[in-house]
Amino acid sequence: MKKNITANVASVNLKDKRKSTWVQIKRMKLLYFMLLFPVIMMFIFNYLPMYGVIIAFKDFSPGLGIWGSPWNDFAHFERMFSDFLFIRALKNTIVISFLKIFIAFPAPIIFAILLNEIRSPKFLKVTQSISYLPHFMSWVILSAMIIEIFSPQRGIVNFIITVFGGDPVNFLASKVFFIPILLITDVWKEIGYGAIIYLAAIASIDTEMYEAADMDGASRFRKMIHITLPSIMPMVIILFILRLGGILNAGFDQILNLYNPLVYEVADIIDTYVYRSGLEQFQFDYATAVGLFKNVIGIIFILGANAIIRRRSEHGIW
Amino acid sequence: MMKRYVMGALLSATLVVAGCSSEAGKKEGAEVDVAQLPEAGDFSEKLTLNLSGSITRGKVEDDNYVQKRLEEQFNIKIENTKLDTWNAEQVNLMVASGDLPDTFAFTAGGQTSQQLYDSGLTRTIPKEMLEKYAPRYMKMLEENQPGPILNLKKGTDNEYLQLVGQYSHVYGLPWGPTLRLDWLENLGIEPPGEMTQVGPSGGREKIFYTDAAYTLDELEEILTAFTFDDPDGNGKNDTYGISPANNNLNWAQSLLGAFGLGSGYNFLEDGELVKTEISQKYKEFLKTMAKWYDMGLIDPEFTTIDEKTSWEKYKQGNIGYYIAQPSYLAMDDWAKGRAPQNIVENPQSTAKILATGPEIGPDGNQGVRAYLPVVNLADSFYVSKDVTDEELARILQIFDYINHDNDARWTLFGEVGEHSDWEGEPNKSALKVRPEFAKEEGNSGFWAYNFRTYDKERVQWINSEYTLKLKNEFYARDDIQEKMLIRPYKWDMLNETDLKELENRYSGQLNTIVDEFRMKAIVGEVDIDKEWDKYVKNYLKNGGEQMIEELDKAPIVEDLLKGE
Amino acid sequence: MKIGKKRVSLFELGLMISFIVFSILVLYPFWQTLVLSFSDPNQISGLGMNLWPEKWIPDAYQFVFGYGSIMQAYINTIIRTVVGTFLIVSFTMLAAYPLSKRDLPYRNTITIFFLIAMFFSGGIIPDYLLIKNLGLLNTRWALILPSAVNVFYIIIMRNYFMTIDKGIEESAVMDGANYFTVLTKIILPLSKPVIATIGLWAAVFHWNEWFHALVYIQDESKTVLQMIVRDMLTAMDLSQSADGGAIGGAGANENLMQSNVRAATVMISIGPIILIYPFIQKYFIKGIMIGSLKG
Repeated sequence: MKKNITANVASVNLKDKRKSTWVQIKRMKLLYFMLLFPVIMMFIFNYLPMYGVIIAFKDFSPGLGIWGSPWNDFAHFERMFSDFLFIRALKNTIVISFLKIFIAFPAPIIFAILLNEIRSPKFLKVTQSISYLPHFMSWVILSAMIIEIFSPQRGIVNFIITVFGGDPVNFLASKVFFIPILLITDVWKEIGYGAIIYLAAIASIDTEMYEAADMDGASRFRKMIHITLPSIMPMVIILFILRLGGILNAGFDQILNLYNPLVYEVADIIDTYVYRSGLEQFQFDYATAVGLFKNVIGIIFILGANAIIRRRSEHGIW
Repeated sequence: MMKRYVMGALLSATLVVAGCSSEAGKKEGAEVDVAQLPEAGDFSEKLTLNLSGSITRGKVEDDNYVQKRLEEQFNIKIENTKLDTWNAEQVNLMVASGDLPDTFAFTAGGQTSQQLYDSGLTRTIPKEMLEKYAPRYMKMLEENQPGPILNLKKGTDNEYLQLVGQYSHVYGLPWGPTLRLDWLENLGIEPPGEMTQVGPSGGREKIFYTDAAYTLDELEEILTAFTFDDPDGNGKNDTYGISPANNNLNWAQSLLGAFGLGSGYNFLEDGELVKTEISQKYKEFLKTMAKWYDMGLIDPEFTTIDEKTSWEKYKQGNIGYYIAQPSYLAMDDWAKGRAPQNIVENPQSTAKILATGPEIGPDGNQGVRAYLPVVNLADSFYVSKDVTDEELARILQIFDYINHDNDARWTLFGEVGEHSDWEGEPNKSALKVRPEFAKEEGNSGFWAYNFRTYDKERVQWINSEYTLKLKNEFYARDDIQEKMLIRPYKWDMLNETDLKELENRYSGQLNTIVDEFRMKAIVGEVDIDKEWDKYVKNYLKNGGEQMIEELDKAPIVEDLLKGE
Repeated sequence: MKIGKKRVSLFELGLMISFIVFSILVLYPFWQTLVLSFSDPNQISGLGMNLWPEKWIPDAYQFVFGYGSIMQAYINTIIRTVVGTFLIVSFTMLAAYPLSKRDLPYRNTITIFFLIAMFFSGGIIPDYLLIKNLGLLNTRWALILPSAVNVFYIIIMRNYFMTIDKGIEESAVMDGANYFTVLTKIILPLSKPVIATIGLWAAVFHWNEWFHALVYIQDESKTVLQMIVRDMLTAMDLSQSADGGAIGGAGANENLMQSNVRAATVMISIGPIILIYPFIQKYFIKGIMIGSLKG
């Protein structure tokens, strides 16, 4: 209480800047009132349980609870980094994740821009509606089909290879082909659904800009590069930064359903390895430690990317 | 200022939230004066008990048939636990948050009964009380050595941490090989011994069995013929001998047995304790498989398909050899869709199956890994720490009645003739609940309070007569069991070692190393002879050595079986 | 300048052909699942390609609709999707609009407050305890409230709001309109595409979400569709993990689901959610059409 009063007194004596901030806050009080609802929800459902993260540093025992369980001197982290298979999984995660960012991330952007060039409304609507269908098929179902498509005995890909006189290849058992298949199927599944947000961004581009460009006799390609792309760039940047936050998520469901021991060397990622290590088997503490590690790396990437982008443009998360 | 306020509120709120579970609540085993407790059969005081089942799906309805009868019989009020015990996440969370019913039998993975007790979640069950209130259970333990010394609290000989289930349904060889009999006939290959038909109809007329076996060399010749001699006579070279799966080792159970091996088990090799996966015999097994793969006998696609897909491939009729459980051969309903029964399901199918004894290996070994390593006791029934001695007395009497008195059949199937009927000959075949009653849980409450424990008689209620016949005449015949069941040399049956903790920590690493090497070895990506030493070293270095050292402290299985 | 409907350039023709090929490729898994769901499992299997059934048989659908509480689960999923989507979109707007104001004091602090929550979670145990202590365990609210605020969506919407021309807004404020009026009367009409996108994302999230149902819902009458789908698709794994192989009797209800039943389950579970798309598509397409018609 006392502190509050002194703080208030002190703030009165502060410079104009503070004062104007206060005026600003008062002027915008309705905005703070709006923010109150999501902030309270977030506080209850995200901040209240956040203390649980400490079990990453503890040996969790249910009877002792989260607070009562003993500290364990970073044993979970030691376990992670003393395990050569975890290191291998970390490496694979980063490789696959980066490839996905460079290939699977731009795909929906290109798709949305190209779709924008189609002038038949019916064709456009139908193509777009179809393109987003595979998003709704779970990897359990899709993987069964992918395995069939690439099957050395029944798959269409190998059928084509043998027609041209080649020998069938067991693609999914091959360390060379497995990663490209991951990338292709990821794009295949998510391109249409991923394009929606960019289509929304394109939809809000001011049409006058295109008209003005037409006056100048700009070609379609030039309009694409100089109007459409820059207009959706803020959205692209935000999604890119947020995607980097998930750098250590390389696609658990997809890989779990497609991989096999022959390709562990390139395909075993942190999530699949931890899953196989039996984390559904009550190792809540170790799972929390792995999750914490992944998130810390993610936040480092977000901070880094945001800083770099802020230096060059005004689009950033903050 | 705001920040500080937020932090303060955060801290106090979390304390409130967490407070409820931070009680260690360890009850130090005060001696129970059994004489003070009511006599067995004295139910004069009405008790309220929060009970749960052990294989239930949380579908039990309040005031069901079994509940009402039990409430009347034992003068209790039952509170039902609606929990899907197959839902590992929910079960683990319930345990992790200390939120448990009075009795529970769900196994939260990775937690031993000692750990649950140490965590303050469960109470011990005094032997004296068991003798007084659950005599049938104690008798069952005596008959299944080393039953009475299992699950004791560390440092005591009369306090149990849990009760245990009797697993008579897993007796005998769990698996055996089968071959396509119609292919053998087409190729003019003699069966190894006299054949018997499994049953007269329902596809069983197309399935035969013999207790005689081929040797591994003979099998190799057969598989070669299956692969290259057009056994189905369609003029195409589209068949394979054997189709393994990439997600488990079921396919190899009898083949490993031919080398005297049980996967995951251990034995003495040249006087030294060794795990199956790094033994010389296992190396020989891998070399044989690699040879077969090289010869083309193994479907090369196996690396990318799991067991379920492999069953579908079998159904298409291109595979000659498959492993099977007795129930598959008996065409039991629950095994529908699994190989090899799925190929004879269709009435038009002309496929025929021959089940043989496990293959005979180069050193005369023959066998299959036992489903349970030592004795057919498994599973855990726990009593919550909040249960008083009076309550425990009542609980034990209910437990003993519904699980070990076969007059309590109504708790599983209701009254025969009213709720259920014999599938075939009375008392010799399975019981089927009538369609108007819930088969399990629901309004009938069948199975809702029972523990997963089956003596021989109860096994008859759940298995078809054909499965039982197959087991009696072959898979579980005494001499077959004696000769062919592969058990580990040592096993930590009494929870005396830290193996469980080591396993939690290292199993992910070790399984990955083993799976990767096995697969690469079979398809020829690594030269087994050249890479073997490196593989073993890698295994030992990544936790294998500690596990073997710890395992060495465990008792010898043969001694355990003698009750020593 | 001709309006391009008559003259189709070579570029556009090539583009259209590529899109047709692409459409066939993405339609394939959907089509195969549909065919499987109407096939006789004895005639066809999950192996190989199945482009046409020998006979169209609706048996699998009859089986699935008769399976346990699937109808109830359907209703539950629709309820949570409608209520949950409404909440997510509302909370997203309430947070995004103030945060889109560059001159809002402590804007970055509040943004970071949201961002931290996106990255640090206490894990499943404290979440479970919280839900339990709030008395939400085994209620529908446990499926809706914990995910009502989504930071990802807030950032996307905030950025979209930031691209809206500030001129209109400021003049409205000058005229004495309060922020709430500005939000509902000026910003929202201009933001239909992004609201539609986030509404769609939220609906798809709620439609597909099963983990909260898995851990918070015990009562079968409150379960959701995806839990049943999960049961159907992974029932096999359950029976393998336990000794399902060796028992029989109780626990043996974990039968292997036939391929047609699995496929029918998938079709049933994705039907309604893919049908809503055409209704909101206009919010994305309309703008595009204006853009390209004049192009």
